[in-house]
Amino acid sequence: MIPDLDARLAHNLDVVMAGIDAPPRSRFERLLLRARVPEPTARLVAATPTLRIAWFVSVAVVLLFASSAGDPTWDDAGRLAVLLTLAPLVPVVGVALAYGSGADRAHEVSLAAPLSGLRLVLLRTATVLAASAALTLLGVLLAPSAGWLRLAWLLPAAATSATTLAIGTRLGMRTAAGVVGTAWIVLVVAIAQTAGDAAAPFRATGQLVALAVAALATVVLVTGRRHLEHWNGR
Amino acid sequence: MTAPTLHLDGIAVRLAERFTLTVDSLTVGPGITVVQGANGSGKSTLLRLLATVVAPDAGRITVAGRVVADRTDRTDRTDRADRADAAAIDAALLATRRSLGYLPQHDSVPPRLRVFDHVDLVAVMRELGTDPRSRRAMVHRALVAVGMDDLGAERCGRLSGGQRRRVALAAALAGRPSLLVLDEPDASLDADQLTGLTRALTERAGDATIVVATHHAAWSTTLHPAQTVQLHEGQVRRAA
Repeated sequence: MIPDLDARLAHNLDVVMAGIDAPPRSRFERLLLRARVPEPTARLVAATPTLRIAWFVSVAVVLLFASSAGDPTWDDAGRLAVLLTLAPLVPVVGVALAYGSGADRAHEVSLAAPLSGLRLVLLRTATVLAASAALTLLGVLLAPSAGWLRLAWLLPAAATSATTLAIGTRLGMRTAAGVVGTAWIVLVVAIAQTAGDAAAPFRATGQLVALAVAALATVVLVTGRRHLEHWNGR
Repeated sequence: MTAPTLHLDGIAVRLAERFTLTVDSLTVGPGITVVQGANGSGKSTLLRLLATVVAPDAGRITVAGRVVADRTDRTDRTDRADRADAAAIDAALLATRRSLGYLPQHDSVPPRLRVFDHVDLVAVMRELGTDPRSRRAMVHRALVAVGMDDLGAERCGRLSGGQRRRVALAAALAGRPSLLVLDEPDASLDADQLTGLTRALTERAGDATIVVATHHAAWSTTLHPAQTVQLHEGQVRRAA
């Protein structure tokens, strides 16, 4: 009985000392806990490498310029096209900076841990997407009005993010982000040139294609999750 | 948790056109195993293999009698048997990772995180503790073991190389894993810190399988290793 008691006392002392040694949680983590996010999840999300002031400032500046870009002689939809083209790239860059050996020094340690790689990458992507969406919404408020087109970056952003993840599980997130980012810009410019309408890639047909691409990429990501879970440290 | 025994059979890992690690047969049992060799001899690759980070291109690895990687040629297999094997390997891999503490060779401590938070984050990834309080108690114990408990609130980026190494070591030691894979844990440590590390490892050697890669031959003898593995140009020269 006495060794048991000793062990319990030692454990209780460690709990008390941990409470003294541990620094206060960040505001963001406290916010997540208040929102009833489970504590381990809040810890994982709050440590997302992209969540830095510098990241938010640089994204905000880019979107601010994008929202006021374009020739004043263009119509509202044409001027909005610059913002609509750049906005889906924000989460792509964010995902590239949130997961992988180049982004996270502790990446190799996470590979050797039992935590699901898919869960970690999805948590961090969701965090980046939410942060990007909030910033883009602010940028959109400053953009010229063009009705529902002001939200036409949402589905393309889902498509580019999901495609980055799907390719990233095989090629690495940074390579995937480069491939997807380049392909996106080439595609948007090509469609706009062909249609003679800068906002053409973001109209109804483009939204349906983006939805289909997002769904397909999600299926590829989930079916290929073994690449994230198993021995992928090369 | 009992200390697991690891078996490697017919292993080949090709990392570059000119480098292949080959291990015909190697058994790593309870106690301390020291891995030595010159730079580029394959020490880190061997440790990444044991830490389930890098997959073998050929061969089979078992941990505590369960297969965690199998790249042997089995032409007689059916799809159904392959799927059953894959499920068993997935479960064995997860069980191995639950009992594993890993210290990579490179600096694995993000500079923007605080010391306690980093070790706690790794503890979350390692699914330690039944609840946050017990997990954080384990983190505190690990920081005490490496003498870093008084710097828990410090940002890792403000620490010296030796201190960051000890923080990474605490993340590996937390929860007293039964399998410890430590790649150059002695790097950047001064004499006193090295003594502390020796004490921490030898104290755990009784109930854990510990694999340590080091260039520091004199220090490795103070660990009283059960086995020393010599690597030369990607091949196991001697396991004694």
